[in-house]
Amino acid sequence: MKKSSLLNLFLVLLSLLIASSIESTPDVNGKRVLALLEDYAIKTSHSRFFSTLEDSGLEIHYALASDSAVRLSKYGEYFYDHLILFAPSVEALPGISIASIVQFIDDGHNVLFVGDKDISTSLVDLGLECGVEFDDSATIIDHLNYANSESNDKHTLILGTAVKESNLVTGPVSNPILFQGIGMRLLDANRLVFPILIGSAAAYSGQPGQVVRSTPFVSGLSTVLIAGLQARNNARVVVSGSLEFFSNRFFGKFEVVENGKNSPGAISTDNEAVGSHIALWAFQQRGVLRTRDITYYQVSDKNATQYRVKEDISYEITLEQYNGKEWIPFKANDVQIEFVRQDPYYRVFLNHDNNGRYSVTFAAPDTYGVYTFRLIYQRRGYTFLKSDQTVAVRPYRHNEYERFIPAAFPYYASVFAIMIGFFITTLILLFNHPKK
Amino acid sequence: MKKSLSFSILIILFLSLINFYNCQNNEVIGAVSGYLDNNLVSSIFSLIQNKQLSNFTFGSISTTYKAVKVFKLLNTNVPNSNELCNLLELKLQNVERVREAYYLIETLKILECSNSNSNSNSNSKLSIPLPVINDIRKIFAATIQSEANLARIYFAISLVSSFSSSLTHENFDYNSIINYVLRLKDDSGSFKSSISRGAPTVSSAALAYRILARLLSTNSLNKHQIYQIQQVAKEIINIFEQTDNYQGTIFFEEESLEITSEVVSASAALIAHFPQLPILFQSKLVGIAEFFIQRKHVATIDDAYFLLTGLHAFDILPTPIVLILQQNSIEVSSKSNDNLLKVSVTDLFGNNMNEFKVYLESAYPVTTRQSILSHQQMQLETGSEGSRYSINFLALKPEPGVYELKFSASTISTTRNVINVQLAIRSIKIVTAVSVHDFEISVQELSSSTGKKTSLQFGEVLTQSLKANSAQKLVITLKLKNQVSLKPLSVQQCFVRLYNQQQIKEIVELVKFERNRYSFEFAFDGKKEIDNLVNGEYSIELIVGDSILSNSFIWQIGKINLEIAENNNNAAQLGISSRPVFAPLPEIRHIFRNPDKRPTEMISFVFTSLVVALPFGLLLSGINSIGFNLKRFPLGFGFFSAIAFVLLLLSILVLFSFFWLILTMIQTLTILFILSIPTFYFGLTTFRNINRLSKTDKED
Repeated sequence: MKKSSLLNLFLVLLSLLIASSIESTPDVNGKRVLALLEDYAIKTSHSRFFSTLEDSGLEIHYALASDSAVRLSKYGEYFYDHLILFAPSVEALPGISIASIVQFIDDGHNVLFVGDKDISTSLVDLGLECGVEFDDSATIIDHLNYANSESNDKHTLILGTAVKESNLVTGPVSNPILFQGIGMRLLDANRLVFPILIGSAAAYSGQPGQVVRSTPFVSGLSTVLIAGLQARNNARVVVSGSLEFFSNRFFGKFEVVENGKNSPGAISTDNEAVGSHIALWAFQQRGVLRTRDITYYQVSDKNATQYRVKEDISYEITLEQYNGKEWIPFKANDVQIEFVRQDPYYRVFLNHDNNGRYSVTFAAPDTYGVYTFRLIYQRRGYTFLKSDQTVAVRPYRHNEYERFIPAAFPYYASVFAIMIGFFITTLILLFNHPKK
Repeated sequence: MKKSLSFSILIILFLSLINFYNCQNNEVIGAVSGYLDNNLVSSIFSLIQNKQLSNFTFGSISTTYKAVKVFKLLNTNVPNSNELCNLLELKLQNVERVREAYYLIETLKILECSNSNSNSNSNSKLSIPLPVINDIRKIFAATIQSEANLARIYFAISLVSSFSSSLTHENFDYNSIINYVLRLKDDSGSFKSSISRGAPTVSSAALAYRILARLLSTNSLNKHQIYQIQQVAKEIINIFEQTDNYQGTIFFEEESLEITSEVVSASAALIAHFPQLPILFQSKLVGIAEFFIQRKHVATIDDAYFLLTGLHAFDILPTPIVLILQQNSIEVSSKSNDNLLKVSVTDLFGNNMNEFKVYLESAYPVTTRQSILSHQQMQLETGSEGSRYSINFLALKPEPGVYELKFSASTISTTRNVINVQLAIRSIKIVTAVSVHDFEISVQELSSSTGKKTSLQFGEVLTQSLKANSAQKLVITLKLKNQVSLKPLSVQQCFVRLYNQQQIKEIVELVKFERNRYSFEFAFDGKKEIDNLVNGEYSIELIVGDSILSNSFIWQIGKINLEIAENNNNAAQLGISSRPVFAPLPEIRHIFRNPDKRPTEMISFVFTSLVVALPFGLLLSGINSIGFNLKRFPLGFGFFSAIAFVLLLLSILVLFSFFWLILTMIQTLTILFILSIPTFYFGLTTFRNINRLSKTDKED
């Protein structure tokens, strides 16, 4: 009895100490965008891109990258939630250092930056910080997939391939995506960076119009044109090797050559839709999830503060997705929950009711201790969800074990036989008159 | 006075001559590289249409005016124009300032509300409200006191000129306006926005030109006033000297579409009144038109308005022509007429212009820059796609490569004021087809150069998969030739790609060109990109590409089975497509400890029976042997205490049973304590009685 009480007290205290709920939901209300431009002509030449962002509710403040008066923060307070860096060749940003941009990301803010021909070393460094290595001395070329235009005589205006696994970032793609710029490769050391737009099998990084004499920096499917990064704090970064990708010019119609076959005529590109979608993803307007209304209980006693071993326990959670305007139910069949005590004892899929409510029921393990309901949902393009709820699982109390075990019936019977024998013997000893 | 006037005329003439000289001799006039095509017109229409708000306006009064103006310039109807008319007419009744009145009235005029709404009394609605007239009076008074700014003067003058018939009783002094505007001009041709404010700017110059043009349209100026304005019109060239240029485009104020458009259209409005004046900045106009065309992808109503008003300024100003090559490349082996070198000559809206003589002045490859042609006239052809100027360029037998072409074009028409092209540079590719010869593929030992070679024709596929291990290498040799001339060809890109689709692994390696032959060797010995390879089947692809090839290709040669190293399949690789996408992890289910084995219920029952039956049998036989009786049970007073003792003893045994079934230890001990007191008492009493009975028996 005493041992059991102490154990319970220990479990409760440990639960209170460890109990934590880690939920990190990005701030979808952050609408302040700083657009640092190489020159103000970009505001006009990329007006459709900026216009789409403004139409979605983002407030863009335009400034020259060379403006020394521009600051991201003052006294630890950020002026902006997102940063667009459209200044590929500005060597030094007088107002904002690369370190401050990295800090901006570390503090959970989002950045879209582009490299291009003549990329500055500062941006190359920023790329390395974000897990991508630019090829700053060459241009991406594809002789089999390109836009058939007069200005593209060296096949540098190529058709990119949207990575299927990143379709949440790009949105649906049905038309060619034009790209003209430099390539990059992803650093193996950074597992969080992923490709969004890549070259075809025939793409390579080289000097336009010149014979390739050494193995290219990147080639084939390894040719990354646009990359994305979602940090562990859910800050998002998009790195593009082309400024023109987002320009009004690329949002028009082009005649294209795809794998050696000419298109029948000028066809629309998906640059506008994809470019806008990528930016909206970067600025937490797409692919943002949050958790809500987490409940967990023992099925046989919903008010139990501690769960008993082998009892059915239920876990329920609501997952919602931000669609740019409001939170809507998130529907997925691959959400898993773990029940962890040092190692996971369970890792099971949650069932959902098509209305964003997920649930699962399983029997508590037969070893008592402090367990954690751990929901970790990491999918490319979606907010990383992590939610921990700690509960105690106790053993049976002495009076909760099985009482009438058939195998023990002989023991029960022997006890009662002794008791009855004792009683009868007492009667005999007390009241029997021995025969004479 | 006369002396100074004639002196200034001489100066202006001298400057004009200098400019004319510069234009004619130093600045080469080219052609615009594109036009506003129908697709773009449709997208602008959709853009503006989508911006219409639920109250039928497009935002502010000025934005609504610009949107309506865009519809007018696109020759399309304004959606919901009747509702918009009614709304604007209501607004006009309550307006007090000239700016709002100007935009409302100009919008209503474009909408032609009086025609569309026959029931309304349009004449009364399109009158200037009294507060606005008072505002106009203030502006005119301010010009006398040198306080008005150009924007307000423009709005006032526009309203006065629009309603001159209904404002005849007002005595507006145009002379003071002209004098005031001229006082704002500085030596560079720019204007200040007012006497007291700011530095002269080109945008103020645009406003000044518009004011003067409006004044001229009233037809109420005297000769001297017209002469003064004409002098301003002659100095427009000075404003155009303040342009900047970048990559063939010319613009004002850091590539500002708004200011460039305003200056050009205002200049056109003023120059329209002086058709006899020579336009001395034609070369600038070509660059400005190019600037507009480069900015043709617009996203806002403002940009659409400024683009279209800028382009339509060339309805008055001399029109730059658009010269576009109809194809980007010509196949060298082609013999069809479709591959004649063709150019189209159009205006800025894509309308064909036939009244030209077009010459191909020269053509040279960009590598050698040695011209292969000089000054050949192109022939005009008219087909279903419109008229084109063509020349048989292939007759010159050009080598494959990129060629720069220089064109000139001059009009033979006298009806339209167009800018002749002195030199327009375009580029074209002469492409050829490549063919593969002497292709051989083999897997050889690392240390030897012999192995079973398989020869393939282009397009064939290996019938059997090759096999290779870490002591072997893949060897490919081939020749690439120009399909027409059969000369060896060195291409920009010749790669071999090994690709494992299952595990998404790829290796792209260069094929080296030496002595007119391509050769490729790739050793699977672990020294190179072998780290990226795992065991499995790989496709072998030959990629040949070049910007001057018409048939760049990926040739699927066949398969190779690699058995290169043990345990290599588990190597952690982050190849491009194999990066983690965070798929679901394997499910885990807790396995419960199996319960201890138990005997069957039958065995338990048998043992239970034995446990009960054996002692019970012994008890019965014992009782039987001793001859059980209750003769010593006390009677009389001792009977009750004996009964109580027996019952209490029995209750204690029952209590133990309840302890087993229900009660806790504490409860049991409590009850036991309570029961033990009477049991003890009645036990003692019973013992005493029994003892007494025993003594009695002994005494007996």
